[in-house]
Amino acid sequence: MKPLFLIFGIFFISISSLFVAPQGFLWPGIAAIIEVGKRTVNPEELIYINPTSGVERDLFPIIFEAFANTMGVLTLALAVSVAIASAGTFLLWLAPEKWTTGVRSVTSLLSTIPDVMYVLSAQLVMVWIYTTFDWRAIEFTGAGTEDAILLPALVLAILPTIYFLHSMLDFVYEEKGQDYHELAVSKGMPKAHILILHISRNVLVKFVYQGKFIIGLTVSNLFIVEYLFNNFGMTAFLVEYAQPPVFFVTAMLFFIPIYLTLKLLEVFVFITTKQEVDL
Amino acid sequence: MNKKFWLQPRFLISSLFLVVMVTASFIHAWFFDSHIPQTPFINLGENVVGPPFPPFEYSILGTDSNGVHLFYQILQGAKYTILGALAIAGISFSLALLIGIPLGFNRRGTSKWVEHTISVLYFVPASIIAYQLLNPLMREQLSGFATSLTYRLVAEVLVIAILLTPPATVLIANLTGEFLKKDYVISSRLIGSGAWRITRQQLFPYLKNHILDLFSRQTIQAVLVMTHLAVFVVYFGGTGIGFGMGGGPPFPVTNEWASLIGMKYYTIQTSAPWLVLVPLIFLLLFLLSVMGITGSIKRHGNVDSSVKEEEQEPPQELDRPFERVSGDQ
Repeated sequence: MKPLFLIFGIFFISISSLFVAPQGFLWPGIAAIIEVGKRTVNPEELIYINPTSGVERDLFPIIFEAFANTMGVLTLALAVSVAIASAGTFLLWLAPEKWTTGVRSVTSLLSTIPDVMYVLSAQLVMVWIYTTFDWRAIEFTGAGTEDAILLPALVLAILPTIYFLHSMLDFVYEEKGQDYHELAVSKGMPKAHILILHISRNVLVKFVYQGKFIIGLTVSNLFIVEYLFNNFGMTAFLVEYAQPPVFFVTAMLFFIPIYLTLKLLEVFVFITTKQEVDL
Repeated sequence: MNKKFWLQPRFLISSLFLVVMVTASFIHAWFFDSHIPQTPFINLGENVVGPPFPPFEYSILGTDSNGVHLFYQILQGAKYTILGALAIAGISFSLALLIGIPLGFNRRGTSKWVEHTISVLYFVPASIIAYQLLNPLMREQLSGFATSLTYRLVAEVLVIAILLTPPATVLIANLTGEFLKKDYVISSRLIGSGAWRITRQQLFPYLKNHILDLFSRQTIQAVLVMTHLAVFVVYFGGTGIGFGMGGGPPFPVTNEWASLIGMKYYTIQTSAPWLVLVPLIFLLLFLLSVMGITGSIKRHGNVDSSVKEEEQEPPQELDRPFERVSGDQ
């Protein structure tokens, strides 16, 4: 049921650009919409048109290259941010509690800064390092056929890490006041043991709910990061070459893996904690 | 704490910043006709020095490579940024309340549909949707703009506000749903009070803190969407494009702060980094002021100490209730 809604929603967004013209909002007529629908169901024939040069090119298979690029950056960023946030939570759990309150207030302040600022600062820092130390270990802009993957992924990972760390710390410290925690401590369990085996199970469900929101945030930053690093990825197809059928196919190609991943997460949570989650 | 919150220093400084910027911007528009000075070059005796000039040397906040003074651009853009972002946040927030509260009251069959429609927004970022809808409208054509500035501003504010409404609506609906399960509310309903009375007498005090948080978050989201659009060269109020040989890069018609950042983004790698940093600092000050205002109202505007207790409940109740897994399962 829900996938149908999503597909319909994405279709509606794709045709939304037909409703706007320089003169204002208008109704394009059913024929235009049906035309879009017809062209969508024949994806092999899809072409994309470069608006400045007017050259038509086939959409497939070059879109797979762009897709691999974008997905690589996204998965790398999410993996890095979850890893760093988990490690951070673990370390802070073993440390005195004052450090945690300090980190929490810092992260809550940092999470309100617009993401463009982080991209900006990262690029500034890279340029400064290059001009001062003449050290260019990793690519920091995409140009021609070379694409930067590591640096955009790292920059993209900054904001999710802050969000993940903030929520993880909140949840874990909430559990600290619970009865079962007191029981475990009184039984003499080591602190790390409690955290990893027992608290994680309870926190997992709430955390996975937050995760959906944070993934949405990361996806929206992903397009900005790709655009600003001049990478050849899905952003080009969604923004520059965006005729409705192209937009629809691109969006579907991009969001199907994300949707499948969320479903897998649901199954994983169900298996480990015996609770049904609806993502 | 019965202190009047409008006398707190945090509230005063934050609102002072906003009021001063908006007033100065309007004075600049009405009395000086939005004139932005331009200094093509400066004659220093025998040397002729050309732009861009860094801040505090010959101009207050520096100039760009054509000699256009940044300070006056910021002044002109202040009213559009501040009033625009606050308008977007206000509209989306009121819509969320109007739709969310009734939705919370009858959560029988409608919530599933609403949540499914809203989940599209988790997958396709709001900035991309806004770009699809606003790009054709905002680009200047060969024959100039076909619509007036007011039309474009209103369209942009409405589109972004509608895009930002769904997550807020879901939040308010969930909160209302949780609230309706409280004992004193159930008793009120049993006695026979109607929905409007419950809303007014009991719901609003409960929601007050959340409403303030929501407003500041919506403002931050609004600025975020405007910045994303600016990066994609869709400037707030219109993208002026100079056609012909002497035309420069696309420029924002209203000189709004986020659009200034978007327009001057390329200059971070040149010798004029203040062109991006100055609007960015002003944007951050704006966000800090909004957070300061809502934060000080939250902390000092409440008389009851029972509100402190409410503050700890919400994080757990926002998700759907589920069974707790105990430690020794």
